[in-house]
Amino acid sequence: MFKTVIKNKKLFIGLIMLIVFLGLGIFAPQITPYPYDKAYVGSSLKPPSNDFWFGTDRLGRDVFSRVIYGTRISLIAAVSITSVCLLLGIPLGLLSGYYGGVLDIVLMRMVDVFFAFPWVLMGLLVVVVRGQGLSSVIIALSLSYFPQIVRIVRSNVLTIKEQDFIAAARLTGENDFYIIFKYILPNCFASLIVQTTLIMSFSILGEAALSYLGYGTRPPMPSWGILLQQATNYIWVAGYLVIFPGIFIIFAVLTFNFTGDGLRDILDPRYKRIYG
Amino acid sequence: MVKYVLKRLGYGLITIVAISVIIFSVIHFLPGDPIQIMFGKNPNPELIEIARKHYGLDKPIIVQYFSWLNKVLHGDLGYSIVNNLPVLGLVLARVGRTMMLTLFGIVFSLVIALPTGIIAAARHNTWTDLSISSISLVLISIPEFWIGIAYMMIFAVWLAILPTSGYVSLLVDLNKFLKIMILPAATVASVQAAQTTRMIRANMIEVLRLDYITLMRAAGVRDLRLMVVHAFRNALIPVVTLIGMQVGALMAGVIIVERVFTYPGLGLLMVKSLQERDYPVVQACIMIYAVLFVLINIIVDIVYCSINPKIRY
Amino acid sequence: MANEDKNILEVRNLTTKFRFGEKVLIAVNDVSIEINEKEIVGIVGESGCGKSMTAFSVLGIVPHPGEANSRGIIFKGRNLLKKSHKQMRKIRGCGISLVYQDPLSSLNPSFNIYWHLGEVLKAHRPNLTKKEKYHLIIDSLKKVRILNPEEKVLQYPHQFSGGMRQRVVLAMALILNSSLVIADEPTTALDVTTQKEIFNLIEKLKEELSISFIIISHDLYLIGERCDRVYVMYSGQIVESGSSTDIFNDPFHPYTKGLLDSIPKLDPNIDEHELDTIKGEVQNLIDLPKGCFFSNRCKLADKVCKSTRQELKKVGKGRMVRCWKVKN
Repeated sequence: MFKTVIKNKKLFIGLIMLIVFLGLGIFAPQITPYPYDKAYVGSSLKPPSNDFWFGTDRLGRDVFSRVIYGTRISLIAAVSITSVCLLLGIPLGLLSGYYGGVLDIVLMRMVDVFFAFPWVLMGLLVVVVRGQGLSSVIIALSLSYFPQIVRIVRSNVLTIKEQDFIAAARLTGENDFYIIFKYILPNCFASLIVQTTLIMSFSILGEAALSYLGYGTRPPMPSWGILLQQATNYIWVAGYLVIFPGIFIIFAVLTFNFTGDGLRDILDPRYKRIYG
Repeated sequence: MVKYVLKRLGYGLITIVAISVIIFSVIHFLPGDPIQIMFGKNPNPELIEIARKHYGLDKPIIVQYFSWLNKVLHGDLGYSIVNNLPVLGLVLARVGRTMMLTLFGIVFSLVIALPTGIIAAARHNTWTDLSISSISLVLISIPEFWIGIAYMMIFAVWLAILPTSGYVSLLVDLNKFLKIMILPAATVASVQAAQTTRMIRANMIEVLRLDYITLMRAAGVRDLRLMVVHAFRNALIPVVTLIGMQVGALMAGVIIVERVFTYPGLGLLMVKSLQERDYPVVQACIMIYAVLFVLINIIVDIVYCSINPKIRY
Repeated sequence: MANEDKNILEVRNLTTKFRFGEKVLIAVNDVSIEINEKEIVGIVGESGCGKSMTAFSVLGIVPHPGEANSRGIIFKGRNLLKKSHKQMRKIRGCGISLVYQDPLSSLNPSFNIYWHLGEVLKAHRPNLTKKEKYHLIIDSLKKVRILNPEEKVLQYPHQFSGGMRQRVVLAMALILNSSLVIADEPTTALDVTTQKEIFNLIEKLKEELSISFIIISHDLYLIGERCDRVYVMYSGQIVESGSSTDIFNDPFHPYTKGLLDSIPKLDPNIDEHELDTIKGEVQNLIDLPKGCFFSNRCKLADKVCKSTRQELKKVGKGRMVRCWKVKN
């Protein structure tokens, strides 16, 4: 199995990037030379230098430290949103697909309504109710993406349900829960794994965008989105403020996209060659 | 087919009603009493009661909902708390501008994505294909607002050939209008194009492997025609559905782009009003977005229906 | 009757290789085939033995990264190898046509029958008037015995049965009066009755329009019944060839014998015993053995078989075999 991973370049690169990303987030305090919210008076808007690798912002804070700490926020957002989506989406998808009937119809209609919302709108709504903050962002983005999980799990269940071994299991008297957990769920893993990486990249982009718009994490928390929002006011004088957080966002999202693509290549039975 | 359209419209209506209920309830259960906010500190309790009665806020929720719905259907979307202008007026002009931006963005993205996707599939497993796929992968990993800022920095700051913001009506000054539209539309288009290219490429690769293409090639049909006419039609069908699913993301993106370029559209109004706590405006904006979204989905469904003969017959 | 003097197609030593990085897959290994006017020739073998790839190589549509090389592919006196891409394209569908397997997937679901036939016409005769086009299309459908062609022409593939679709594909192959039709597993996806109908049609067309057919199949019985001559392929090579009567009554190559023995027979004279099978798996086309390709599955194989390759040798009138164990 190790060999398969190495052979697939995308997956390999993705995993390495993932390790780097996790490392930056977990070891942020060790890596950063300055605390992220300490303002160094007199060093406002300085370009990158030996003291301040990525330069400083308006308040004299070290951009490098802020960006690295921003990694943590993105990580927290990604993990939380993914967990909520999976915890909500998988059971609903399994139930809806397996039992069908009225439950399925009602559930799917509800899911459609949630799916209808552009996620920025969802963010807006949640912030209107709960106020700004990372938790609002997490709730909003989870509500936006979990319908996708429900749909995917449901369609997997529908395909698997028709197969003979399920009928066989039922005839031998297995109870429903056992069938769902032992037989159906494992077959959904392939698409779920790929989806997980997609949720993660969506979370990072979404959290950054919502923070950029002012709905997300509160300053002085250094979410990459907030860093960029603060930077837009200074693009004429301090371009570097825009570049670094952006690069990190791209890096983080690429990590998950590469890994996801690579996993899909392996797990998808389209690994046939032309002569197949 | 007519039956299908009617069915879809029916579903759409139900969805819109459901959304209106959700929005209404959310706004209604907000923390903070809007009446109190209106009167500021030390309000006169009697005045508050009169105001409450005036706004109908003392009646049960269901009655409030229906009276609200009634007003909406008659075009009365309430008044802005901030400047007391009728919301309908504020919103109407902006809807047009947002739609224009969205349209430009979509057209731009399709013009780029369709040929690129086809070329990438035709040159599958060559360097052309690899570079196209890599570029698309990177583009969808970049947050839309960053692309906007980057374009702004390059074209408006360094090269200084395009404005960073502003707005002029198309009828007043076409030249300036176009200049203003380019950057925001390009931003919307960039991410959309990358997504669509990936989809088309993947689907085309699938379709080009199929038997009916091989058969036509064996019958002497030219390669170019095979790709553009024979394969594309079938590759397009799932793409249309996928584009439909992306409408939500597209609209989200437009809101963000409006903020980046301070483009005076519906999205910007919504963001500003939220900051100012001007809830009637926020509510109206969200409703309009929701309705637009449902309508676009219905249109996409109908388009899908007409290209897929299996449903038609 | 087959006209043995007129040679429609002659393939000389065709080899088609696929390169995957360092590995090379030899799909067609030094294959030589001849077809005469008004002949039905069969190519038989298991899946993956190179039968389809031979057809593709003749037509010039081998998929990337395959490469077809040969000493010559002579069609009606002209060497196809010397032709440019453009010229090859003109021959496809117009001189040599392909009928592909599985009629369910052979037709483009988004377009109707008129369009399908129209596309073939458009590719070769772009200057036809609408009327001429319409007539040619209706005529071709009549040739393949489709009733009410005027109505059927506007329908979509999913509205047709399997047999009907295959007739449409045949119509596509004949609309420009090809001299040679290569039919790759033409009836595999059809039920037995429809199979019979299609083959009866093929025989009629052969007579009426003087067309030659190459039938590619893994169904030995079918080939035996319907073909004049047969080529047996294994692992990309031809291992035996001859008239179908000869091959079926008196097979020489152990593989052919094995194939024939494994067909269940409805003969009361044969006492009941287990169905014979050929042991082992189909040979992988990348790691080819040093000796005879069939040696690791052959009951008669000895040291010589396993270490040296055999050429195709003539062993009788119109018969050739590739086997160390067969003497004249």
